[in-house]
Amino acid sequence: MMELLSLSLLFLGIYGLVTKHHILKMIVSLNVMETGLNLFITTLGYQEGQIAPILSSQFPSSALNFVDPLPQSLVLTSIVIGVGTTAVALAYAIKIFKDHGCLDLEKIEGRL
Amino acid sequence: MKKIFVLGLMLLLVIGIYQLAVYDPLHERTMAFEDRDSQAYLDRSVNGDPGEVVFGKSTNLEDGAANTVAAIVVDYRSFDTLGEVTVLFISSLGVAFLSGGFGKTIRLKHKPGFVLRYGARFVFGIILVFGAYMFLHGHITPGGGFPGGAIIAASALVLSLAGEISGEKMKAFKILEGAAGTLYVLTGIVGLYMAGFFMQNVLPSGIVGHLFSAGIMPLIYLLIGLKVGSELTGILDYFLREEVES
Amino acid sequence: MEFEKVMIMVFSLCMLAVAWFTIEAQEYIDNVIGGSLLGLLSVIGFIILQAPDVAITAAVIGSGITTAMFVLTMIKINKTRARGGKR
Repeated sequence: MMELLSLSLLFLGIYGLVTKHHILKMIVSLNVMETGLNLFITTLGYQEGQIAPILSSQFPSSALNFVDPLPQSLVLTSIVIGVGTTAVALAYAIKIFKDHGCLDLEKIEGRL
Repeated sequence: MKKIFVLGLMLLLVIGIYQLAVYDPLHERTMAFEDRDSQAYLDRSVNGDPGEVVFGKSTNLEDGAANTVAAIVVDYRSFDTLGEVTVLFISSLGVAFLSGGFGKTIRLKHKPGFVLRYGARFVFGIILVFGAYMFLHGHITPGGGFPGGAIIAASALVLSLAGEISGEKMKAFKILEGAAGTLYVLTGIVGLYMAGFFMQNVLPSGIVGHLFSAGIMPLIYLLIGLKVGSELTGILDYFLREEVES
Repeated sequence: MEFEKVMIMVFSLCMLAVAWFTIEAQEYIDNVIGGSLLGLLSVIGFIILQAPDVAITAAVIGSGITTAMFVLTMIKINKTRARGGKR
């Protein structure tokens, strides 16, 4: 179920990227896509009945059935990098608005 | 019409990739308990088998963190994390160049109301302490340097919106960011000098689950937290500024 | 067990609806608030997948910092538009 959800989110993001002309809406679509991709990578390491990979007084032994921790650490990295890419994209959007006075890509294309 | 076409195409892609990636018809999926690669990280048995790891009892493991995700991020794959912090630094640099470059900038003018001005002072300290807790306990509990740094950036954003942080104080954040990054690389070089590998964990790794355990991990998480926090604060500060018309 | 599966299904439909709203809303502020809501819902998804570290990071960054950046961009663009643009 979660696999289908995350793949649907990913392709909804691509759908938004293809059909929208407004730059900020495209960046929002990019964020939706990123959320879906992160969920999908996390899903790959999960099987039903497994527990979070943290030793605690409640789950004290390494012999228990833990979730695969490697996809989680990769997603942790990818979320933080996502903020960086979003920030650069938004800075570009502001610059495009200052240069062209408009954020609609179809209108900007006529002026180039 | 175009939208319906694209939507149908995406639906086909979802079904196709779901079939291929999740119910792989060609290969049996081998994510079983024993076959996966990262089981070595969970058992802390990359360099040798220590036997069963027990919370609060096991000592002198190759990695003494209770949180396995933190162990992978900061210890086993610490070089990746260094690269990630570099990517974040480059994106902050890109935002700085794109929004104004070296031109003179001022803050966006707005008048904070009474509730925002005095509420921000109360909330700021609480959020800051929570962020510090987050990255100091990153190796025992969920959390770590990245969310801790982001929480610190959020507290700085609250103060900025209340008009409490001026442009001069941002220079301190820039110096903090540079110092944290340099210290991170220096910690790696210390490992290279003392143990022969870059980012090697040279300090003793204590008892699993105690605050002072896991060698250099709390130190590195502290540095990552400070660096990410000051970097995100810098990025948000560029969005709060505007160019002066010359 | 059945109850959990039904709840996950309801959650998935909810998230897909929010994602559709995020992409198809007309006003820009609706897009941004929808994105923030999607980040908040993805936290529940990560909790279901037993990833508390990722959940905390997604909560702070996905619905906090990113939304702040989008809203600040909107304010900045509106101010530039009020000045009549640079060109």
